[in-house]
Amino acid sequence: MSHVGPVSDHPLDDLAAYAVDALEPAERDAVDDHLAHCSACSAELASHREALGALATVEAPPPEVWQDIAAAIGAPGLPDPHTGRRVTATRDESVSSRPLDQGSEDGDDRVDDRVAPVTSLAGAERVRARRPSPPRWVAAAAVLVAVAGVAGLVGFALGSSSDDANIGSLAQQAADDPNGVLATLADGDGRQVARVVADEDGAFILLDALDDLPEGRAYQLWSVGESEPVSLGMLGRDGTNTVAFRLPPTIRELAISVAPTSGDSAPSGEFQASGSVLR
Amino acid sequence: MRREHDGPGDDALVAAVSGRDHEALSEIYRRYGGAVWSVARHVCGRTELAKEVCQAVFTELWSHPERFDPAEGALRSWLVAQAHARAVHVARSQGTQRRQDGDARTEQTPPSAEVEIAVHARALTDDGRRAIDQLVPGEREALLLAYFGGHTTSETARLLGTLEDTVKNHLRSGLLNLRRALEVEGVMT
Repeated sequence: MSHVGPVSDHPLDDLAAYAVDALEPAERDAVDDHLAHCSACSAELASHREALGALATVEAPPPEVWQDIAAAIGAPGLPDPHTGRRVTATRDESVSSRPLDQGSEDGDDRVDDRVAPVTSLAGAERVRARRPSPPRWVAAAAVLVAVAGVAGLVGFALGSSSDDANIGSLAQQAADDPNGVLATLADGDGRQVARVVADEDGAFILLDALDDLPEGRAYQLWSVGESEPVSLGMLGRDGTNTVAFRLPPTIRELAISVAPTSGDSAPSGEFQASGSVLR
Repeated sequence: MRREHDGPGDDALVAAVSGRDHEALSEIYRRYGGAVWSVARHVCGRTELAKEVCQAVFTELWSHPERFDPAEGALRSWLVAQAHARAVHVARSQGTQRRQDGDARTEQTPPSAEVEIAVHARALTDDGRRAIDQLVPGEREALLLAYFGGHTTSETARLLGTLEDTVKNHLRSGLLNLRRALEVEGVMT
């Protein structure tokens, strides 16, 4: 039944606060009671919600979100709609900090929780950009104060396939963009040896001046900084190379180590290069 | 909103979810999982909490698709609203728990409202930023603190050094002006 009466009978200001979930419980209950019989206010609430829903940037959820939803609805094998991947690994608490999911051709995406290869130039997958995502304001405020002018990090998720030339071309285009370089990695002498670049199609690491490694050894990329280093994947043994990889939004410091080709679960020896992610 | 997707309409997908169609929920997640996730993450701050919120929104839709009423708005904005409400609840519960636990972090001086507003503004799309920048003084600040900061109207009033009734009034006029600005931007019709 529609509410009939003067405008002053409608709790319009409280309705707006209700739309942003800013009311105390008693106030919220009063608006709920009003909404139950007022179609005009229900329509205004829908309008408010539509405007609010258009405000925030859109980012792909982490794969484990769909993994848990699919399990909860009794369809654990249903591929992730955002990646097309079917993940059959048992979820555990380490999954959120797990490195790049790198599936095999048969669709079995069971991954090593500690070491996973970065998408290599051969058989690379195209990556799709996500919008910058700010951290919680308390933490982010400190960043704003301490590092004024540093923009938000950029996160990426795997998308459809791409060929080698495409990866190289995309990476070079990103490197040519003045705003495309997210980080430069320098060796112990301060010499720039690698760059991380990104454009709307993804994130790439360009190894510019590392030494080629002997057979059986490979470069490994790590997220370092606040907690234990987390492997972001393998970069191959060539000192000059371009590799696409997933750069989660929380990552701020990167480092490269030398490891067996199968990768290390924790970095061994000194890092060959390191640098901060600047945007 | 502009129609963004080919294939079945949202209402048809929700009807299919009522029929226990897993693929239908998967398609809804494909369309709106990103929007739900983003709001949950911005408001919760902590990724683990945002995951729980995002999962709860879609499993709730699976369990109770009848709670979505197409007459009360589009599926996208309804899902985002569910995520926001859950995220605010989680964020406030976490804050309460920390205070009860005597968490030392709560003893830190919070950043100023200006800094917090600047951080929340980074959650905006380009269209959203242009639209919200057109609001009159007070509206923009109230909206960012209440919506992305998860603050109650009384908290928002305290942060802005104004009256709670003024905040509520700014929220309403701000939302109405925001919609007009988004329509001008072509984001909404």
